[in-house]
Amino acid sequence: MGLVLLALLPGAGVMVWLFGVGVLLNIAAALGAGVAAEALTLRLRGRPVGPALADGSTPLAALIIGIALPPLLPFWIPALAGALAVLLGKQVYGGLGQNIFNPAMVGYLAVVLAFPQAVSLWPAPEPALGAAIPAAEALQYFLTGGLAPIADAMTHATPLDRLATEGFAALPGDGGLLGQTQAAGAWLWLGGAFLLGGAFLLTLRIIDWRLPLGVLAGTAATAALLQLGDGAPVLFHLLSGATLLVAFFIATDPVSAPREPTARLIYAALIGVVALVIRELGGHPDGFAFAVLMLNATAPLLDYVVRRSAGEAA
Amino acid sequence: MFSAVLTLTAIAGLCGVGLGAAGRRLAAQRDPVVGHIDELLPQTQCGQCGYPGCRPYAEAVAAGEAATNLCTPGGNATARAIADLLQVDPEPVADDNTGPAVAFIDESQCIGCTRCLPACPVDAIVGAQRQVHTVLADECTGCRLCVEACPMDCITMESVEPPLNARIRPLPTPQSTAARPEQRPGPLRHQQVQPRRRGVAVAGAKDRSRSGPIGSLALPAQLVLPLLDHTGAEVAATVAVGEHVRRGTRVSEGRSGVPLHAPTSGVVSAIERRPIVHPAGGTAACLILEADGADCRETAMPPIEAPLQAEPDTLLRRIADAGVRGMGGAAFPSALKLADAARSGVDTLVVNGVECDTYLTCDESLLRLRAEAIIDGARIAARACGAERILMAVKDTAPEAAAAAEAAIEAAEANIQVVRVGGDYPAGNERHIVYPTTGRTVPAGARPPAVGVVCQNVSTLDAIHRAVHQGEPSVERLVTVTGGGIAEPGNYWVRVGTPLTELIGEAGTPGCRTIVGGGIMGTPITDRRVPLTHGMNGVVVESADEAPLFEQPCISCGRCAEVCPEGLQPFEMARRIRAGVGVGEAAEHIDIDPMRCTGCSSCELVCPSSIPLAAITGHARDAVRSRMREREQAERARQRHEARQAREARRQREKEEARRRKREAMAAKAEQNRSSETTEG
Repeated sequence: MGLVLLALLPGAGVMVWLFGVGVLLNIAAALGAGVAAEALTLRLRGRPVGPALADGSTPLAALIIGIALPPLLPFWIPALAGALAVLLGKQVYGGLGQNIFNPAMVGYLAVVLAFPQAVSLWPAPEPALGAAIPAAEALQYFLTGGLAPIADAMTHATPLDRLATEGFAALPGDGGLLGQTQAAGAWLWLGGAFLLGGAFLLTLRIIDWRLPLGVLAGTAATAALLQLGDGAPVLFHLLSGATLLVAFFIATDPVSAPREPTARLIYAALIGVVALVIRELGGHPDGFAFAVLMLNATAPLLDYVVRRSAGEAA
Repeated sequence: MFSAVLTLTAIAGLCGVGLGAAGRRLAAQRDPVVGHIDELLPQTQCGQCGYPGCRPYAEAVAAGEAATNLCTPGGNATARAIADLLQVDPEPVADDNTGPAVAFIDESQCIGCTRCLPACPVDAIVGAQRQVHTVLADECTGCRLCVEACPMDCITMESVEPPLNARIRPLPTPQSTAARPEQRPGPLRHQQVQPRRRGVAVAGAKDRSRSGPIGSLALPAQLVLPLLDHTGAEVAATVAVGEHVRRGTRVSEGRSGVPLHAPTSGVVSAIERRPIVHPAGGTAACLILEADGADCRETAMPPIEAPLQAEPDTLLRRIADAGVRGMGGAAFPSALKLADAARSGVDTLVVNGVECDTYLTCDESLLRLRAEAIIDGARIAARACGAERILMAVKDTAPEAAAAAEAAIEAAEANIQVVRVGGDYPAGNERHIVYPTTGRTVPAGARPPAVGVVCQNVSTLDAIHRAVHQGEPSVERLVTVTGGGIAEPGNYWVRVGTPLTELIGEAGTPGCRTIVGGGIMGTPITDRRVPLTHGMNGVVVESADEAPLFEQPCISCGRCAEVCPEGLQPFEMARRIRAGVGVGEAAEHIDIDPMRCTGCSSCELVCPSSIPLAAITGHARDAVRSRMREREQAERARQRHEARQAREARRQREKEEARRRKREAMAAKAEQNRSSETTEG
């Protein structure tokens, strides 16, 4: 768990560089609420608090939530996400190792559904933005929720948001690979940082190569298929939004993934497929969180089917 | 708007119907835990727990209202089983400190009244009028019915320990391992561990003892010989207390014709129960030998001339007479193994020099020291079992040993091929060494002779060489003494029966474990007076940074299933066993069958949560074996009881028959008398 946290640090660092201290504030709020919720539930369940807090799973969930949420939010949104991740995502099932769903995704989706307006507004990713939104102002917004005018001016819908509502043609630039847009470089930096962390985990064999490969393959294949219609290019889908984060850090959560190697491949590929269908054909800007939770629910079934067919073959 | 409402209503209605149907069809039956607890109870319905029967008590325990230790007839074993099932700390039953018991007759008080004989439902008491009676301990079911029948009160219930093969190692829980870290089962914490498919790459741990000294240990003042055969059953001693023995004197004929020998000369001072090494702990009957220090030898068996031309039976007889036992760890009598191999018609002998368990270097050192003897022993063993081909497996990380073996083969002009096998654990397991050497695959659950291969450990072959050429019984072995707690790790020649205190003294830090065997599969011991036996290849005293970490929850990462050489699902097994599902019963699927687990602990080596997986599976394995043994015993008791009932019925019939005949005879006589009276009249 510690190594996964370490591997996620480059990505988090790029996020801070792109979007300013807001990301750090989100992580801190999610972490604080998550740890408090965890300590409280463990006390109520009569379990030792120390070892469960030390296993690193709550900080990891808080970090993922902090990265997944937009950087300018009042503190209660990330805090709620962190607390719900621990409560509804993990402790109700009996703690780490027993949970069916990925805790971070449970917390994230809860606030996405509860505050759809607030969490869909992202500032344009610009390295200079950290300076553009003064830390003090970000902090004030974080604490009070009062929308500072400057922040309001800076935020707008993400490319994925516009893709969902207006179609790919509406995107700025001439539709290549985000090519000429100003933001492209920034997104590439972020993707590169996630890729670096993922490669680190793969070489240490912390994560199973089947899971990221499956997600990327599923995403690419579906994107290619949808491009026959009027879908966005494959590379756009691979590099935008949560694709790389999910592929290397969320789908790879061993607790909520299937156990059988074959089932893992199917599971990961289907995450990519479902996410893309939601992105291109559905109303939500990014479908990965939904896709992960849906496939989490089918993980035991996939295991069962794979084991049974293996048993029949044998 | 209207259509939307309609659609949603329809969806809600459909979901409702679905939920209702699911609720009907998949309704949870009564609390399954109650059923499991009820199965553990002895079903005597005695009410001593304060509840009106076993089922009500089970319900109360499941509801948390009753303690787990109220069942008096079931005793500590039942209390422990319930505690295991519920994962709480076991509490002893108030007036049971016995466990299983058998009746014992005090012969000085028995008057030979025979009243206990009919009281025994399984005919386990033998005796005759005015003769002292005695109990057949193996057949006694411990029912206590004879205790009441005895007018002299000379029958008492004596507690007995179950034989080694029926002892169940405790199920480790996070609480129990945290409370007693020095008894925690499982491998030492290795620094360099890499999971591989169907194995684990471990490096470094052997270096500690590899370059260390090879010495011999001074003769201890007292030696302890467990009177056990390879199955764990106790065997009788053939020497009496007070008798003087010499090195090589047979002290027990053992079973299956493989005797035990005195390791040195001295006086047998006692035969008593002493602690021994076993995952479930406990004691066994041991012969205590006070050494006289002279170490004088028994008249040796004559050497066998030209053993490679000798009859296989002559060789097998000698290997049995010398008491050679497998020195790779199992201590299975080599003569039996080779005879079995000869019967299965093996064509290949694999010399196992792989020694895959970490920390151990005794086989490797022996190969460097005595390669000629080992090569010769291999040719003798091949002759004895009829194998035409000899392959020698050596680890590719021990090049010196391989070079020594090759030189010895060349010198002896033997047709033996040295195969260097990969260093992954558990390459040296008998079942797993067959494929890299011969290319044959041993089927699941089978032993190598099934594919025409027999394996022999290098230390065993050295003992065979000595037995055949010098007529020397096997009473000493090379042992690795190592671990972070040992100041000077190395390999030492040690007599069998030497208490381990002589070997390791007080070395090590308190709270850290002492392990007998290798760094992965070894068994932790708490009493260092346990004696060395033929199968013990190492003693490891761990330091604090080699001690396993505290257990964390399972995150289902699946690494254990990846490395399992038998293709099992260790985390799935552990989850079920800890939940008490199917413990002691046949497994539902082949990949969660604890009986297929070889106990290699690869899963535990790579577990990021330090869960004692091998011990959990071992617990289930022991439970299955114990259950099988209980069934056999119950079946035997039932047969004896039925035989007894049949005998009594027959006796009754015969008695009636005799009575009838007597009546008829008397009637006939009376008739005769009457007729004679009438003729007279």
